[in-house]
Amino acid sequence: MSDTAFELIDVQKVYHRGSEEVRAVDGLSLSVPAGEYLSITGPSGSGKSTLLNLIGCVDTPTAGLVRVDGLEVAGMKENELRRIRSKRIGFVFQQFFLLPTLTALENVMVPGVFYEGPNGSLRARAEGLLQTVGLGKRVAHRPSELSGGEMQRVAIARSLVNRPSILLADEPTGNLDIRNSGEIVELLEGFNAEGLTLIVVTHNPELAARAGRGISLADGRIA
Amino acid sequence: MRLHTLALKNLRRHRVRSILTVAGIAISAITLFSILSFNSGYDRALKEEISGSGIHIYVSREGCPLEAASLIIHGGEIPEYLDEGLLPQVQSISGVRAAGGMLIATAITGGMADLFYGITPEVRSLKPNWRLKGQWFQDGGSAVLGAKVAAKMKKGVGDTVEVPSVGRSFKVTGVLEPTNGEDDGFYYLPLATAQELFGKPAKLTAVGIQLDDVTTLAQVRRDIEKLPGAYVVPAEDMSNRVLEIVGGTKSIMFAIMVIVLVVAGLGVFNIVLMATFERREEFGYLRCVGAGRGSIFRMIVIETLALSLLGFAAGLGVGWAASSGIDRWIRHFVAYVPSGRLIRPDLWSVLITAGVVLALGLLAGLYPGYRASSVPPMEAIRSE
Ligand SMILES: Nc1ncnc2c1ncn2[C@@H]1O[C@H](COP(=O)(O)OP(=O)(O)OP(=O)(O)O)[C@@H](O)[C@H]1O
Ligand SMILES: [Mg+2]
Repeated sequence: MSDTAFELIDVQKVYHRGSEEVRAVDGLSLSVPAGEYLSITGPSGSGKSTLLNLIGCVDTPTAGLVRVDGLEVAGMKENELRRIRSKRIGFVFQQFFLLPTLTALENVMVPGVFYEGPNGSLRARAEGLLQTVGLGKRVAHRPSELSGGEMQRVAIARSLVNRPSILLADEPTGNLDIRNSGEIVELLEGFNAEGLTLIVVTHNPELAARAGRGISLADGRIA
Repeated sequence: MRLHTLALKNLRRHRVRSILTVAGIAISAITLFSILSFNSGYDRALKEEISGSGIHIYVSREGCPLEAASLIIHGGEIPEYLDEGLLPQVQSISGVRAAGGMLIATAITGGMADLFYGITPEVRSLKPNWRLKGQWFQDGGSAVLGAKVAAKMKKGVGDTVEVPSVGRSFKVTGVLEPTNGEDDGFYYLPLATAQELFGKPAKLTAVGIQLDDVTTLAQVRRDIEKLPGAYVVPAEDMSNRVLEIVGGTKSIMFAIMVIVLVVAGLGVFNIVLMATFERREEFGYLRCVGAGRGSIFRMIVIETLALSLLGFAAGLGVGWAASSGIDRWIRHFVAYVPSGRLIRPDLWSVLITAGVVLALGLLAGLYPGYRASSVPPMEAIRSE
């Protein structure tokens, strides 16, 4: 594993909306060492989610270099990108995307379904993670039987089940009240303290201020 | 946890929708299964009846070819008649075990047709599936009723039945137990009574013949055809003729089956496609955590196949359980109904039903699966 979790060099992402060109990310460079806690803020439409897509190998840049765990992403085939997402990246979204017919435990195990290669004991790890996020007694509950905060905690446990090195959280507390937000942030910070690289996109300045480093975006660039 | 677990658990998401889909598939499976079972069952029932009835050869008036066959069966009026004197001549031919004379007639009042069968005593031994309650004719004023006639007229053994179409009353000496065939619909009269009633003295519609040995059929046929005015119709030809007539009904059934399958297939297709549109974000999320396009595609196909499998199982179960009911119902729609079971489920009808239903399910899942697999992972991150 390299000391740099990921690195972007002069990255551009251009979308086309009809004849209009949208430079969602516009010549951005960023290097994040392994284990860093980074917050990303900025007004709506400034390119925060797009940046996260690029780091998360969900999307490829129009120009520039993106390196994740020392691997050059640009020019990779979808199948290789998929493997990076599966093994190295964890995602937490504002929406929880829990599958309604699965229990909390089963939901946590979902990313394991798509993991290629030996993956240890998925169930044991899922149970351990639920324990860690404080839901040891809720493993058999379905999402409809959980509160918003509990659902996000399931989602966090789920994002970590394949042992990623980078966790990308896009507005993880956007749908939660203050008390639940605090608990979620503490959880994430706990995992960061154990070595996980943590990237949090947020509108909340208080939350952003807790990170080891903060960047603010405007029009696709670091302001 | 595996991909199919994910797929199967999803079927519980919209329970009612899943159940309705399964029901739709089950109905098409029932239709397919029943029609296939009927298709082979009918042919066998007919062959059994024709060979089992004990009549190997019918003799009718010359110049009145195979059309006579269907009329004999349906009980229609045949314009050409045999001379009664032919009967003893036929009976004396070597190789003939039994030969019975019959005069078939129809009388109509108020739009309802009554069917009459004047028979000589030998006819009874040509019909091994007849079971009589009561007794055969005592005299010229006696009648034996087919089961349906007895039920319709509400008459039993010992009653007197008045038949308006011929303006006469008969003493009911016996009632035939149901044969579930055409024979249930006749009034049976002594031959002489029928001849007198319908103004055909000394005439016969046909002679039914049972052979000692079926392999002598060709020889006996040549001997009979030497008799003036006698035309021979082997029962075998008759069953083929009936199969021709019923072939039309079968074609219609197959057409209905195709329509049912197409409608059911489109229904499943529509439901699955709608469901995949609703789940775009979910697919996007799964792509984010490492699901490939192939996995998403397989997941949807597994879901549709599971629905099809459930529908097939339910349809097969219901179709099998209801086959005797469907048997009774289908009898109303076929031109000639043999007495044996018409719906005969066999391994082939099960296998073909399974094959068609599952293939249809697979087909209905392909495009939705393709659409689902085309959802980009960004769908999850972008959507708000
Ligand atoms: N797939 C796309 N096609 C076209 N335009 C896009 C696409 N994704 C993002 N954009 C545009 O790129 C710009 C940046 O979008 P992005 O989602 O990264 O903003 P954001 O900072 O996450 O905003 P918010 O705080 O509202 O989530 C916006 O103008 C957006 O409309
Ligand atoms: Mg965003």
